[in-house]
This record gives sequence, structure tokens and C-alpha cells, in this order.
Amino acid sequence: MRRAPWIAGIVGVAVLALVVLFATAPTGREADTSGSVVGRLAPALEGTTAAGAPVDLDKYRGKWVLLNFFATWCPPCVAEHPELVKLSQVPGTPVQVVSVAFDDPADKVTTFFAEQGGDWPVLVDGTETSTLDYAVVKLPESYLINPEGKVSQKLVGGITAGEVLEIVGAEQ
Amino acid sequence: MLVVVVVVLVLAARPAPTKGVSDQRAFALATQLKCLQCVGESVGASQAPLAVKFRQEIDRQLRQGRTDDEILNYFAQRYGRQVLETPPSTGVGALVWVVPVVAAAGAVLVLAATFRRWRREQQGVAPSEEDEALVARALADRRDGDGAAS
Repeated sequence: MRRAPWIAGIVGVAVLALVVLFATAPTGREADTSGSVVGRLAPALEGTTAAGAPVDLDKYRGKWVLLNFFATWCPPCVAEHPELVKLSQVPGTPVQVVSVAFDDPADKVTTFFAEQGGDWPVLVDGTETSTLDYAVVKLPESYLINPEGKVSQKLVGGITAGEVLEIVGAEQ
Repeated sequence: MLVVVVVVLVLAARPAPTKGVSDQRAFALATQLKCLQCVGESVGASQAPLAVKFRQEIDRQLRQGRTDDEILNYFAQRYGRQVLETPPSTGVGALVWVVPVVAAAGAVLVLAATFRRWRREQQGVAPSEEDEALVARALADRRDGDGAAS
């Protein structure tokens, strides 16, 4: 009979520990902000486009920037692309799209944009550490950077033009 | 043969180097990082594009002369501590280390209490007078039987 309080105590501690672990475990979009750049100044990003033109993210300070990590070999990125085109073509759009190609040769990126449309800076070189600086995990991922240069949102998976404009409208 | 086996095991169990640039050190670091694009795989064992990027960055930082801690911290700062294969020993993560110790200590206490109770119960058990008389009669009967046979 005296064993019962001990066993109950041990089971109680174990259950309590599990409840705490489950209660504090990150879920859904919350997980994206742990250890990420959201809320911080956007990490520096400099590189060159497929045409060899230099691009510095800092140049866009004062504008909203949608920094999009993608790859031409990634089907969800291909599916997302028309929405980026739409966003870039909204008359007087407050958002500048900038893309970073993940492990993609310049010629493939050039062909992809020629076929799928889109006319915004696409960095293909000099961005080796940017994927890690922005804590990219799965493609496509986009970072909405506000005019002060802070990362406002991390958008995992395909975005829509309407979603981005709604966020920007709400934060302006 | 046994000596050869022991030598091989000892050499195989040597800790990975923590200085210099070597594949062994790079692999040891990669196995301490989770592949975030995989399930249950470390960066060292994965061919996922992000794991390859991680390994390239490990190589780059090794060549820059960074320490193991600096390299692991680089990834933890960007991806959060959950990128590390070893849970942190502080905060909620400490439960992973504390709970098994508490459970083991509890189990030892329960066992010790149980053994003590069994010993006490054994000490309290003594034959009754009736039992002793029964045994004495049985022994006497056997002796009588042996005497009659001889």
C-alpha cells in the first residue's frame, strides 16, 4: 500500500512534464519565428542577377520588399510564380519583389523568367549564406520587409498577391 | 585476434577532432545538426538541398578557423535551438534530461522501500509451537522407522 504514493508521484511528475512540453512546443507559424529574423532588421543581402547586375537589398529601404526564396526545380515555387507576377504588376504596387534563387544556375533562372514572366531583381550569385541568414527551410519562402528594413512577416509556402497586399495594407 | 579487435574498437571510438580542417570534424559537426527538410535525419546523413547548404557552410567556417561551439551557435542563432540534435540543458528543454533522472531516482527509492519491507516481513516470520511440534514428531517417526528397519 505504501508504494502507491511513490508511483502516483512519479507518474504525476512524468505527466506534468509531458503537459509542459506539449503546451510550450511551437506549432504552425509560431515555429517560423523561433530563432528567425522576424521582427529584426533584415540581414544584409547583396548579390548579382543572371545578367550580372549588382543588387543590394539596402537600396530598397523606404519601400516594402517581398524577398522570395525559390528554385526553378521546386514545383510549389513554379505554382506560386504567377502570383508574384500579379503582385509586381499591380498598378502603383507598394511592394517591390526581390527573388533569390536557391541552388539554381543562372541560365535556368533566365529561361524560367523568360517563359513564366516577371521582371524584378533575381539574385543568382553571391548569396551563398543568405539562405541561412534568413533561416530558410522549405521552398518557396518569402520575407516581407517593411520600409524601415525590418522583417515583418515570414510567409511559408506559396503566397498570393492579395494576401501580401492585405498584410501591407494592415501594417501601413 | 582479440587484441586487434580491441585496438580497432578503441580507434573507432576516438572522439572527433575539435581543431583543424578535416572531413571527420566536419562530419561530426554535421551530425550534431538536424536536417530540417527531413524526418529523423541529421545534416550529416542527408542529401536534402538545405543539408548540403549546411555542410558547405560548416566547411567554410572550418576553413575560417571557427570553433565547434561557434559553428553550432551560428546555426542555432538562425534556426533556433531546435536545429541542434542535443536538447538544451536549460529551460523547458532541461526536462528531457531531468525527467529520466527523477524517474530513475524514484524507481530506486521504490525498490529500496520494497526490499526493506520484504526483509522486515521475513524477520517477523517465526514457526509456531504447533509447527515445531509437528516437525519434531516427523523427525521422531523417521528415526523410529530407521531403527525398525535396521
